[in-house]
Amino acid sequence: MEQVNPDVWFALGYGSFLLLVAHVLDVLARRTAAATTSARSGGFEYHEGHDAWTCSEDQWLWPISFDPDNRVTRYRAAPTVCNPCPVKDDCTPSHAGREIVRNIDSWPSSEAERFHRGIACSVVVLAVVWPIAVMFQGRTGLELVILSAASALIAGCSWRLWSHLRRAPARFPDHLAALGLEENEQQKAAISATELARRSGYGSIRKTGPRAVPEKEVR
Amino acid sequence: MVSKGWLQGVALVMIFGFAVMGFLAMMTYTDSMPQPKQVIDKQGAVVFTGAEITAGQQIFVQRGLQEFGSIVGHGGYLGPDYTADYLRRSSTFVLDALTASGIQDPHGALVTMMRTNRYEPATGSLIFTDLQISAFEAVKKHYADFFGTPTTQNGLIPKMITDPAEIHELTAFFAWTSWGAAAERPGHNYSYTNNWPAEKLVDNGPTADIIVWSGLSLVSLMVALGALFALYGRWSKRMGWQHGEETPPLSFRQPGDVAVTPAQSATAWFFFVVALMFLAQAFLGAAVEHYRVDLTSFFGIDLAQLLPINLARTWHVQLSLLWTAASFLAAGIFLAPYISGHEPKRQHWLAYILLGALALVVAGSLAGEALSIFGVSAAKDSPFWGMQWEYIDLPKFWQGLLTVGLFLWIAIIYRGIRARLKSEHRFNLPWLFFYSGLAIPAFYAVGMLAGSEVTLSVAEFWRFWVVHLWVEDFLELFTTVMVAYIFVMLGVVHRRIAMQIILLDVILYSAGGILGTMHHLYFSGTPVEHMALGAFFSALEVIPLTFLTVEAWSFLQLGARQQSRSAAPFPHRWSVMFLVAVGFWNFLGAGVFGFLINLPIVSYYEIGTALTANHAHASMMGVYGMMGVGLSLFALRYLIPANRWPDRLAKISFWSLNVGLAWMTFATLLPLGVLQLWHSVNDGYFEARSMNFITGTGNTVLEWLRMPGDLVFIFGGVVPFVWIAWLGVRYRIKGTTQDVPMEALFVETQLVGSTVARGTDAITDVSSGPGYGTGYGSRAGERDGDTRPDGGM
Repeated sequence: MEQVNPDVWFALGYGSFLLLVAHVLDVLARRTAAATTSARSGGFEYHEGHDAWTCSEDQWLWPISFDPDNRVTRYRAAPTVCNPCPVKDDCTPSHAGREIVRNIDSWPSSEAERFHRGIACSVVVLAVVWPIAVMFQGRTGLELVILSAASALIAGCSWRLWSHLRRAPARFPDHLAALGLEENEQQKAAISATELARRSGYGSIRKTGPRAVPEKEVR
Repeated sequence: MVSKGWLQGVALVMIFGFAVMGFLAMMTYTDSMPQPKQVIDKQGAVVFTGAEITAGQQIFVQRGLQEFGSIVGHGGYLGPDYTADYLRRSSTFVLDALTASGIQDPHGALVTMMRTNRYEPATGSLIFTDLQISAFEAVKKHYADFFGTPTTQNGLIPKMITDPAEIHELTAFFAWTSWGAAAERPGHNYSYTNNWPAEKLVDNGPTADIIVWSGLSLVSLMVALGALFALYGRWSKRMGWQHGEETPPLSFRQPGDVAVTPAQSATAWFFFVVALMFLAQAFLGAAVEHYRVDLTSFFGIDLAQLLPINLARTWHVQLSLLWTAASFLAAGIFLAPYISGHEPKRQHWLAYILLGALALVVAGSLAGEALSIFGVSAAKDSPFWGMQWEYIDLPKFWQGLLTVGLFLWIAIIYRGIRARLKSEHRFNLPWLFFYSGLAIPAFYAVGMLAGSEVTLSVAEFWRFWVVHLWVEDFLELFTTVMVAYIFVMLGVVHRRIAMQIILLDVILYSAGGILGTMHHLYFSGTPVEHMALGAFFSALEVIPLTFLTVEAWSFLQLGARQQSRSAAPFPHRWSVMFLVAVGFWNFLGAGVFGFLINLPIVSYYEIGTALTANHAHASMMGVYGMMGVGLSLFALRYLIPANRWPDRLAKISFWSLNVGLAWMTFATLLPLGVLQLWHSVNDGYFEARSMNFITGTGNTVLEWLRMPGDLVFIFGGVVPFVWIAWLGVRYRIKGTTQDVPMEALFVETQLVGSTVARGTDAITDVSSGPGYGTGYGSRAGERDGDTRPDGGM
């Protein structure tokens, strides 16, 4: 039996360790994203099958509106349930029932998850490269077989991580149009012109023009 | 706004921490490793004097040798640790002599000789045996050869130190620290350095204190973690993090719509200087790394002739502190007008003066360090050109000027927000911003107490007030306040929650962080109390890092409020992503990698190895570097016209910096550190720190493996950031107003008429605000995030 250099075993061990680290980061990515979403929803639980939430007191909040421009759904509990609730003071000042929103695009937790998964994949690349790098140190045939098998095995075990990264979009809401200063000014001017062009019902105003509104009042 | 319990908690932690630190400071002066007035032989003839030890210490510091090797474990990682080096060489010499003399138990005789404390406090004299004196002379010859070599084989300039008197003084300094490492403390069975370094020749091994306090610090960590999570489960809802408040819709003010003041516009130059310093620091880091794979040649160039390893590392370390700190200062100046809603006239003049002072300090201090390392005679003991201890390498004059500059900065901040401070309770957000800013110059100034002439243990004590307390505690606090404030300004975090996060941060970081400073002084010749308290409390430093990770950085509640119909997306995507990265590296780099080397028993074997460098890189770049870039991008987003904002470059920079840093740590620093630690435990600390091991073939492969990550980091991460900063200067929006919206980088809107989900009838919905008060001294009934009357739409 040929002797195998300890460096080979170290490469094998460290490559496996990095693979483990990458998987841990991947799991943490999912958990962190879930924790952020949960924190943002005040610990309420979303039930996808019902498209509804349950609060800490096990009461349901049902969908009431959807804003298609910003892809936000709003949910509300019945006021008859919320108003006598013992934890109402800690929950909502509203007498119309507790309300909660759900972003269809869960940025930034979605992109944070993608970031963590990206780091996990960069670590796993290193795990694959490591045994390959050690192969260039004048290894014996047996050592080359061990190292190449290790590299291939690690690459195979990392497949899930790449799949997770591919299925973790950033979901940054860039569908909203960002307007620059000039565009904003033009838009404001157009709105202003439209308002001014609108015929007022008061003859005095038609004769003298609209009253100049102090800037503070506009605000 | 927040209950008085929070403030009492902060006061309690601060008073306790600094009271104990005062006690430890006193002990540092009275009970540390004594520096003798003279070292004499049995007949009373002087071998070397205390003044020569001090002179040797100054040579060590001023010639940048602490950036090459280390002393009592602290310093550079490439050269040897000179305490361990001298101890091994002198012990070997004595053992050989004893063996040759034919005595029965030469090793026992050696141990007795080295561990016997012959220091006489009454006279201040330390007596060396004849063999110790002979060893001193022999080792002196070795150092004369090492530092006098006419080549650059060690990465140092040729013939670095050739003056016999200087070699004598330098060796005297090493001999004294080595004596303290072996000679037993009066009344104890361990040495002044708690038996560090591990050296079998003199029976130096871990003490009972090292093992017991390692165990106790682990227990303290587990108990504190358990208690924290129990409290968190009990109180988190009350604290408001997971309140999930009903919130009114927001419309973020878009870059271009937000007017900037002249001083804010001036910060574009700050960020450009920051980016250039970052670039220089990264290239210097690459040079330092290359020395580890090829000591004598940089791709065929004899680099050490112009840029020796100790100069490259000095500049690398200095710039790492300077560019990150500068980015925080600039961000502070940028935020000040948004805090007060108004900028005093000619504030931008002060900002430019500060920028000029910063540039002068950077150029002057770097030049001084170069002159000092190259041994220019004018630099010797000069306050202008003589460099100092590692991390506070700046010559005294420049260190003082930087301290003055930092006070000027807080004066600029105070001037900018003075009007707002007058109308606020002294514990509201603007005041917290000011207090945390004031701590920056105040604690940096402490470094002035650690002159190159100050006794080693005392200098170490004050030096780590800067390295640990200033960097790890108060910069952390200031950045937390800034980030919290930014999110308040953006309307995505309520002021009350922001204040709670800040105060909790102060309590958690300071509880472990203040006394945790002492984890740097386990083996610096200070009493065992430093190690005990340092180990016990610094274990608690992991808690806030873990907590914040579990909390998933509560600030990330963005988007939940983004429901406006005004088509105004969140403008700070990459700033926020850099903050996400800060959270990740805080946990991994500062938390995991920090705790990895924190226990006294681990530190005993690993101090000064690549595991320390691993923690340093992952936490300094991972936390402060990412934070600096993130804050820069936040400000630059408002300074660069929207149509010129290079979003793609920001994305490339973000991913490259993070992937490059991850590669750097996992490819080289972590495995090399583990190997070095194993080698240290198995073969000895001296062996693990020897150049033969560091530049060995196996390690060289590891070092080369780091190269792809470094290239990605520099060319994919730093260069795009420089370009973005350049765009900030090239196209910056000029400051045209002295008045800006106060704390309102957003507009609250009313949602009118939204479509019902599932295609049913339309429902008109008007959201109800949370109705929080703004706290002490604010107008009753005013809601957080309300646009003030003077805040323009």
